[in-house]
Amino acid sequence: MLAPSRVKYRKQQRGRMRGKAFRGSSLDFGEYGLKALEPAWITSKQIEAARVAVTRRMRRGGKVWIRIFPDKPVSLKPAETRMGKGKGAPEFWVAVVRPGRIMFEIEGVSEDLARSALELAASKLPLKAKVVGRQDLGW
Amino acid sequence: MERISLEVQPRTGLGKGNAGKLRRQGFVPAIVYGKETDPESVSLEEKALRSALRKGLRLGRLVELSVGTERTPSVALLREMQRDPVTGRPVHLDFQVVLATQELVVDVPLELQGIPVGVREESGHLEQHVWRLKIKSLPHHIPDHLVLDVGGLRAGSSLHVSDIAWTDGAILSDPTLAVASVARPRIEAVAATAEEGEQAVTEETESVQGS
Repeated sequence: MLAPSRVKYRKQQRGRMRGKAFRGSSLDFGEYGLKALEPAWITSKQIEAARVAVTRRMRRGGKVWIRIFPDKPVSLKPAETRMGKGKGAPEFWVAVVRPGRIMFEIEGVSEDLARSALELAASKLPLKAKVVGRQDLGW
Repeated sequence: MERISLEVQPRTGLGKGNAGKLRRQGFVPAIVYGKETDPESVSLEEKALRSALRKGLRLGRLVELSVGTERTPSVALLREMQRDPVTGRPVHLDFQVVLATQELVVDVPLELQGIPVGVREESGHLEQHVWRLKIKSLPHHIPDHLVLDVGGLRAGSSLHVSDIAWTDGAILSDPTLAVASVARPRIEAVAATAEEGEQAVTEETESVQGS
């Protein structure tokens, strides 16, 4: 699963997810991509589940790019713990995704297969997403 | 391809408040500028823009731009198009009025032609690494797209910017840059990994049940 190899600070504040993704919102590598339509935290497990779903659906070739990286640690307090005594331990990593962000890109497969693979990936993620192709962008 | 004509109207209200108002009324704010033209804020109907986009308008294409009704149309280049990241709706356009003798640096799309030998006979898959290339050319020589024939490409080999046959101007992108390649099939590796994964899951389930 994806995780940073080394970080400067172990714990982070939660932050807000306001606005749209003005960066990383265009197809840069592949022919088809999966675009987020709402903000969400996507965990490394969810990214991995989506990646596995895409690669299995595209069994006969193609190439996949993952355009998001889970670089935000999320800490949790253990169950049945009283409040206080400091912030909980880091438990997992998430990627902060804003609307418009291209999360996955694929290339080298037919349009039907690409769309079905990306729709399958979208079903593994905790947000609404749509499949976009280069022809949709008016290039 | 025939040149697309667009009619734009001068606008007086500037700033994001006025621009937002225009967008709500079905217009798209834009600016027209050039070497011998003073910058002028304009707007155009979103409906007309959408129809032009369907006809093939895109970045780097020349259009016949008429500002208002009384002035003669000028040839302009669509230099920039800002879009909403979620809906893809055009938000703002930049038009650069061009002179016939002035060389321009433009990004043009690259289209691959043909089915590579490596895909037909060796089950590889075609990968396009570069989608747009920077070129320098006179306005009337700017192509709609550059074409690269990939028919002879074998699995494991690639084509570079230097392989593109286009002589009407200069390609500014690095000539050694790989633009397309045919990757060797990796079906066996993927299948093996998938099987290993499934086996590992089964073993894990069994050990959990056993304990």
